[in-house]
Amino acid sequence: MNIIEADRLVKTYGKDSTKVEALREVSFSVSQGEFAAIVGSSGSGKSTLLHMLGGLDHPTSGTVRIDGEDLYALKERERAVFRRRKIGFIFQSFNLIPVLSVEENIQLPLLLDHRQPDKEYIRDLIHTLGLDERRKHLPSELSGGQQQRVAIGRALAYRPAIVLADEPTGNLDSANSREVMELLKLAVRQYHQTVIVISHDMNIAAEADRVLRMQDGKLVSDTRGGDRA
Amino acid sequence: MERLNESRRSFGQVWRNPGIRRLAVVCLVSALLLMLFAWAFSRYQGERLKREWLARDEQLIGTIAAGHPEIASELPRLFADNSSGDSAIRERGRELAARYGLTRSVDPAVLPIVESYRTNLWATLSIALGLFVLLSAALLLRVYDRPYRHIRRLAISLENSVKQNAPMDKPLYEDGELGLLSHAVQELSLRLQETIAQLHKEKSLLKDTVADISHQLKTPLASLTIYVELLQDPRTSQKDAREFLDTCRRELDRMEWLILTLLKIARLEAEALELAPVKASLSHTIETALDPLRSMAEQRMVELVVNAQEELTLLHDPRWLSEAFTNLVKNAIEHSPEGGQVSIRIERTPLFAHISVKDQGEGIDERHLPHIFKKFYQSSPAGSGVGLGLPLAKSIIEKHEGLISASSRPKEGTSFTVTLPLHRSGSAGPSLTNL
Repeated sequence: MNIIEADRLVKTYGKDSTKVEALREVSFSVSQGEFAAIVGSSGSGKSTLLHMLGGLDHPTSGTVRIDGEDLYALKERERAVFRRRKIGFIFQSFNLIPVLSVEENIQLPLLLDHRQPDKEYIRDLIHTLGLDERRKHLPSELSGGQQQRVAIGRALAYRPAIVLADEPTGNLDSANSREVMELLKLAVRQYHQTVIVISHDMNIAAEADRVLRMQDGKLVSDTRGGDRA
Repeated sequence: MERLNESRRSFGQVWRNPGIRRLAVVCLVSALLLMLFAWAFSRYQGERLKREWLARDEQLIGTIAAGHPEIASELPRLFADNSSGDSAIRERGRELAARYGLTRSVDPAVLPIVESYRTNLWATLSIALGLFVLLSAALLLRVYDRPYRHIRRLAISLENSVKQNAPMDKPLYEDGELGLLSHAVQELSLRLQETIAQLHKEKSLLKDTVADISHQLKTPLASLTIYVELLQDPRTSQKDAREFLDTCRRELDRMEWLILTLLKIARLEAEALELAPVKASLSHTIETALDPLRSMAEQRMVELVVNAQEELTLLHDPRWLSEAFTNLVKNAIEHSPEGGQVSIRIERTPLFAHISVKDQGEGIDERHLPHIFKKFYQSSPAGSGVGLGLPLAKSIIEKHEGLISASSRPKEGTSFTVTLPLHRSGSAGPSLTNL
């Protein structure tokens, strides 16, 4: 089952002489449970693509279907709810709320939906993330690796169908990077999630089941493989 | 898993419902319209009353002036004077009026102004208010009907999802109770789909296992049959017979191992087997795993080196996990050259334990690498087994919520890396497909 379908996505910024074509007719699909990486140099359009997939920015033309739903046919308000329930985001700069504790940051998507977080699930999640002793700490009291783990926890709190990660290891050393990637990999398997990771680091991308390479706003290769039987 | 809050709903929660907000808008607009109408209508009626009143006054002034020209100049002052006059004068006026039947109980028809005013007021108000109520009702019906339309749509897509196993189409993405219901229904249909997929998977797994076992047993069974026939033949010499019996013994051992391993994998994959995880030392488990291999390693002159940075305990089933490592290390020994080394390294990071098993063999060709964990896949003739050791190891490690990967460099050897989470909750994860 294809959980993500991008069809001839085009994104241009600016007009006439200052026109920048960030995406030129990008089409691909990702099936459920896949762990895909999008690689490319900076400016190749990979971040733009991820933003389009996550409903964060309107494409100039083309469609994105998530779980069969045409993302840009939804109203802005509906799209916000859709994002909250279906898509988890992880950013390079963690984007945690500085005045909320680790636990509160992780529960945020649920609290936004006026849902009472399942205490046990959240406790398990925090335990798996190795943040037991940090649950009452503020993000500023954590290391970079720990902060990114909190962000992963937040992305997983709603158990979204899709996790989109934009250079999740960009601000981390290699040991922490490996850890983040392994956590994501386990999440895919345990919760049947689909993960798309953006990276410019081939070593990180090599952990994925599938590597999509972007160049000048186009998909230039799509390799499957990896060590998963 | 998150829960819906069952406690009393706050105003904020009620207000999040788009239906409630729409209702409030309709009520507000209706109230405003009604106020506007009341204002305009009272102005209009006031104007009308003033005109008719004036007309009557003019008539009276004219009539009185014609009868009594001497008080004509006084009359307008009398009519325009608003100050409440002497009560004695008013009393006299009332007595006079009563003589002509003009009392409070008089039929309004006698007073044309009141009569026309009343008819007009009645007609206008009833038409206007009637229209107004109809209009509001139409708007309210729309608001009221909307949730029903959504519920109907949910019901239809739920029916489709139940009858055709189709995914829910067009769910509702909005705040409020209906949105939450839609989300819950969607999760239900997703869970249904995944459960069905899981059942199909298990069915094909069972089919494959049966096919695997029968396929793998065919050859040794055929040879056993031949040997038994030969043994039954009186011409077979005593010496040959002993040799045949040895071969039979080996074949039988192989068959036993094959069946046991296949059954183990099948039970692991079908989730029919529960691990008994305890907090135990990982290096101890690995030592246990190496014990049955020491003589084999000695025979092949392969050195086993365990390199553990620190003692680490983690939740696992020592019996099963040691079996996984036995298979990994056995595979490494089989692929090692004489005098080679198999190194086992345990490392820990904040979240994971990494165990790598490295040999100095020929390495695995890149095109074989994605398949080595498949059952009965053999990339090289070096292995003695039937291609079940690595699949078994993989099944066990995945049962521990771990990952296993292999990397290889030709001529330098192969390295298997097992990643096990340090902080595993004792219970199985809240998987959607846990039956």
